[in-house]
Amino acid sequence: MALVVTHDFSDLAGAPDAIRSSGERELIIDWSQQTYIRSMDLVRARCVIELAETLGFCTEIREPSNTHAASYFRTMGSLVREPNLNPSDSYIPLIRIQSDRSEHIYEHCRRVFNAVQADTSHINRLCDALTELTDNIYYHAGEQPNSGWGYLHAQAYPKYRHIKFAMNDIGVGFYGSFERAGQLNGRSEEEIVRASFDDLVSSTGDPVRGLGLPTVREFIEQYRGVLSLWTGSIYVTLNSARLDVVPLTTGRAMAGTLLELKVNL
Amino acid sequence: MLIIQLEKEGRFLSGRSHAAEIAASILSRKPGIRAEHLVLDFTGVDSFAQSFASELLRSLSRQISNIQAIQFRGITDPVLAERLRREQARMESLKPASTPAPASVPA
Repeated sequence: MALVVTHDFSDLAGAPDAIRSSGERELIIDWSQQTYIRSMDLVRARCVIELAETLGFCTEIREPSNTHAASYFRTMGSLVREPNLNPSDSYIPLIRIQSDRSEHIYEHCRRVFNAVQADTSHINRLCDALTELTDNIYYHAGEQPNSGWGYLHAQAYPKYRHIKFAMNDIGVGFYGSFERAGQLNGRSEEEIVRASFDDLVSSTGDPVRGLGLPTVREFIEQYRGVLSLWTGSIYVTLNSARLDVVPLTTGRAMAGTLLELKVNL
Repeated sequence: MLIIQLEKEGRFLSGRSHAAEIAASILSRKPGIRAEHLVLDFTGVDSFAQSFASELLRSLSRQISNIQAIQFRGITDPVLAERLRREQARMESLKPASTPAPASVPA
């Protein structure tokens, strides 16, 4: 029997824990019935596959039978072994986040944003925010600080004048990061996540850290973006008007952190 | 005067580790350098992350007192200028309180 992960959100959220606790040695990502695929699906699935392979699983990916979804799936150059990459400037292919250096992400953003004629300041501010997010993954998501990894993917939708960035890790999550650093101070997961959007709040206790999510918040307020974030048993939405931090209602907790940043062009 | 041209490090500067490396390089080139003799030239740099600025100034401040006297050049983006100003102020606020001056003797 293989462990089968479908496109279902709860399935993908709980997949890392299922892999770690499963006695199986084969993982099937079954998206054969899927009619659409988003960036956030790709980054999540890629992390799940990498975890499984690290733990010695054989992995199999069943592509969507839907022609449009299958085409998108291959073009994104992501999960398939031999991706059908095209020269489109409308997306950033899957990038493995494995350090706090983001120069390559900046170059990708310039390519995609120049294609949709976004202004330079917009690109720079966006990359400032993205680099804080990738820095968070690298610093917080690993077993130890500065050992985290994850994936980034982005897709531009010029017709709708927006681009969606997705990032995912399967690390310890917000709560886990504060917990291991002994910085919970009796706070709930919801309180921890909410506080993380305030300036200089960090699980490290370092007085100059905790700049990342406030930078993202500034960007969203200035450019009217929308952040959706899932971590542990919490779901966050942040737009230019408000921050909502609520319990996740999708069944299984989100192992690690998944986020989507929608940026208007 | 030591002028550090940061364009050589890339047109987008990110990463606390990168910032710490740059600071270490500066301090090894000129040990004991005073803040007023150091110029960070950002000409050719499109942008840098707040955490990059934070770590650069924090790492320098471990050996350079009066971090507010470091000069910045080539910054045309007001957002970036504000970032540096904010981090300079933050480093200043984190400095341990100086020893209080002895109380004056009443005349």
